Amino acid sequence: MIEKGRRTAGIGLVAGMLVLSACSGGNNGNDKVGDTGGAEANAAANAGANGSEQVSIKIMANFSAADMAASEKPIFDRLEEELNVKLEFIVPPATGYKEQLQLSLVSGDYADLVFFPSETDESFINAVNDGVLVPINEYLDELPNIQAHTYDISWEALETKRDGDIYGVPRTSVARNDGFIVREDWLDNVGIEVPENREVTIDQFTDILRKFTFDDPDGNGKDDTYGFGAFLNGSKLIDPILSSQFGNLGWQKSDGGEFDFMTPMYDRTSDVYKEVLAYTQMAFKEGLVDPDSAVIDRNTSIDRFKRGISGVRYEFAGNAYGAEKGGKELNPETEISYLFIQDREGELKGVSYGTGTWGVWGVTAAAEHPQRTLEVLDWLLSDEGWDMIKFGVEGQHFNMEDGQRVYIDDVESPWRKNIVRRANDGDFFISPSHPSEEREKMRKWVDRSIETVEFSLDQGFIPPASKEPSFQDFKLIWDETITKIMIGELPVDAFDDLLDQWYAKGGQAYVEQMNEYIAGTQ
Amino acid sequence: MQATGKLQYWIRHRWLYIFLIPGLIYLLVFKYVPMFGVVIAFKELNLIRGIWGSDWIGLANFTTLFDSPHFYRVLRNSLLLSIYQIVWGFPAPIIVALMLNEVRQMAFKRISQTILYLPHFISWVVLAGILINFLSPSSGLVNHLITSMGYGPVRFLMEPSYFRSIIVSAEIWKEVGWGTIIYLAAMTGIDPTLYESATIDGASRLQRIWYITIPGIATTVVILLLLKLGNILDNGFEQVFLLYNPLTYETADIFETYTYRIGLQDGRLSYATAVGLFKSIVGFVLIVSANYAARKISGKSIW
Repeated sequence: MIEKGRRTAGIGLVAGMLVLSACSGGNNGNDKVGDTGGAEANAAANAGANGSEQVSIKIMANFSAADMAASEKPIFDRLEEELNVKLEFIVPPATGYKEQLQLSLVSGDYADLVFFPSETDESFINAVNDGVLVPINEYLDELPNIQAHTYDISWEALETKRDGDIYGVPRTSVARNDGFIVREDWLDNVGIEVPENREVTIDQFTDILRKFTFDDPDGNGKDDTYGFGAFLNGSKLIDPILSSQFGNLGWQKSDGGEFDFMTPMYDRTSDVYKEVLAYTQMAFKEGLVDPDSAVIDRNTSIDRFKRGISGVRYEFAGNAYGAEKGGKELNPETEISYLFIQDREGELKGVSYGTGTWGVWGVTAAAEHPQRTLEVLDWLLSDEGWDMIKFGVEGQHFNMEDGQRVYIDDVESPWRKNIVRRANDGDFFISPSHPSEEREKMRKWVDRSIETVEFSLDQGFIPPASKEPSFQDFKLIWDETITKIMIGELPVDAFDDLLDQWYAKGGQAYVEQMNEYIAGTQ
Repeated sequence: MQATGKLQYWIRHRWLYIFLIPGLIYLLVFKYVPMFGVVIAFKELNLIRGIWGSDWIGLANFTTLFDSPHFYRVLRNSLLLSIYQIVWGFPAPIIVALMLNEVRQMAFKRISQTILYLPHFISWVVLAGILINFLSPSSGLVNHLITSMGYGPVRFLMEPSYFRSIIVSAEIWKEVGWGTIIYLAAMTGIDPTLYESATIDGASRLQRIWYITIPGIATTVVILLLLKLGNILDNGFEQVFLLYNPLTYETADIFETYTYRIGLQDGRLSYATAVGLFKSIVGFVLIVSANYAARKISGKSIW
């Protein structure tokens, strides 16, 4: 009887545990909490280097790996020791970060410091408007490193309510006018010489695409190559192949017409955007673009370039060496170089993507110590922190030999390079482990892309008109029509009708509000 | 006396009820408790004030939904895709199960079953990658065959007219084997003496299938069909999201992709909830009506 009772209790216990584990597992089965474990001494007893009491700071971050690499631990140990804090990271799977972020905001259970994909992302705007994120203006005076290494335009973009309050610290990205990586070995095979400065005209660029498509650049005797490799971006749209080259520099002072400020995309009196669309349409119709471009994502497009299906693709110059290394794994003949395309006046200029930011760190209302939370980012941008972020840790990422850093192969760094960046430090994006000759070459291209950048005057402002349901609904029709024009299913003139509809669906108010905003910043 | 009887019943069947507990808790925690969240559909959700503290907005989200020009396209696409899935996808596992049931060579049957089950374990992400490569106009096998016959390449995934066929075919390929399990189980419940008598009476194999096997699994078929009708507006998010693009929105945009865009991408959570609630109500009405109709017509129903 006792035996039977024990068995019953045992089975009941197992069933209960199963239920509990099922319930908790469903809740955060994918989340990983990375406890840095550094400065693990008793919190209560601790008074750190700055004499303050130790505090815990919870950070929700978007990293490619859920766990901190052992090689990066010394950086965070040093940070914890220096600031007398204990960091607790919440790192959801990178592919579902946006969804996890929305869910965490709705649940009300958020970290002290939260990473948002961009200052224009709905989750960020909602968090600001609903009071989840707090203004950080009063703390900025004590954060000299953040102040010193952030673009002014980024601060303006983070005044989400346009009332002077700043709602986050940007993960700064170097504002730049990117060009294209190109198969240098194919250029040689089809007999095209590119000037030393790597700048070509629109016509020369088109000629490259044509020869890459029709002149068997890989010499395999088959018609199996394409000039350009495009892809569907995160919004499932194909980006036009060339844009700023036709004069599309975003919101700028208008040359006359109904509004003082205008962007070619919404300008009914200019043909600039139609020319942008017409060029991409021509490339698709002539077959110069990989025909899979309308259904594949960026990674697949990169893979097809690597396999030698396409010969040119849009890319940051600092990734050229990595692309060459990857290509050589499949074809040792692969040589990669870089191309800038001049505009019709022979000048090189283009708008930067966004406002010099690549994501935003927001301090939430849940943070008990906002100042000390922000000091974490500030320390990482200090000379000591930045040195470790940029070059890695001695003994972990590199060894010193004759005063030079000699990098250790295959050391993963999934976290350290994705927290903060210094404005205008293009060098950061070129891996220090690359051969110095390659680094030098890429640095020239990166510098050129930084010095030729132009800023759109909208500074990331999202007019309230864009929140109207009819305006939001129209986005789908916009996307469909633009894509159909670009791949040649609709004539370029279909854009006129599309733009008229857009104005009727709330575009008029959008442009008016944008003009009002830009006029206020001038 | 009656109380003692009940007690004895509980004691005798206690294990069955104990094993029910995890399932009931699962349903309660993940299906019933979240149902209170549907109030978001009638509120202007404020993240700080939470679900209960947010302002009521009545039926505003539903008015917006029914006024949206996309609503009717999304509804049409969802319904059509579901009808395709039911017309082609629902009978497929029944036919395969009937065929498998007739195989007398056990080794062959088991190997066939294993091979048929395997695609079920391939995730949609992988399958979408395979399909994109397979149907690629430049390097895909299908277009290679088409061009080798002298025709021009077909841009399968860029043509709205092909989209539903591609999705439904892929789903059938992926799930047909897995779907047979429940029918094969139902077939094992058929009394073997019926087959023996029919054989003695000279019934052919087809006659045995028609007059014994099919009526034997009819209840299972009806129940599964009713459940399927309840989910008529659920088409599956992953497969469509991974394979659609602006060129196929015309036929591919369904409720799942619509709610994903407005809810998780645009952050309009109240509106997305309203869309979800609308879907659930349609499913509920359909399942109740279909159940009633099935009971009237065939005498078989879920409840």
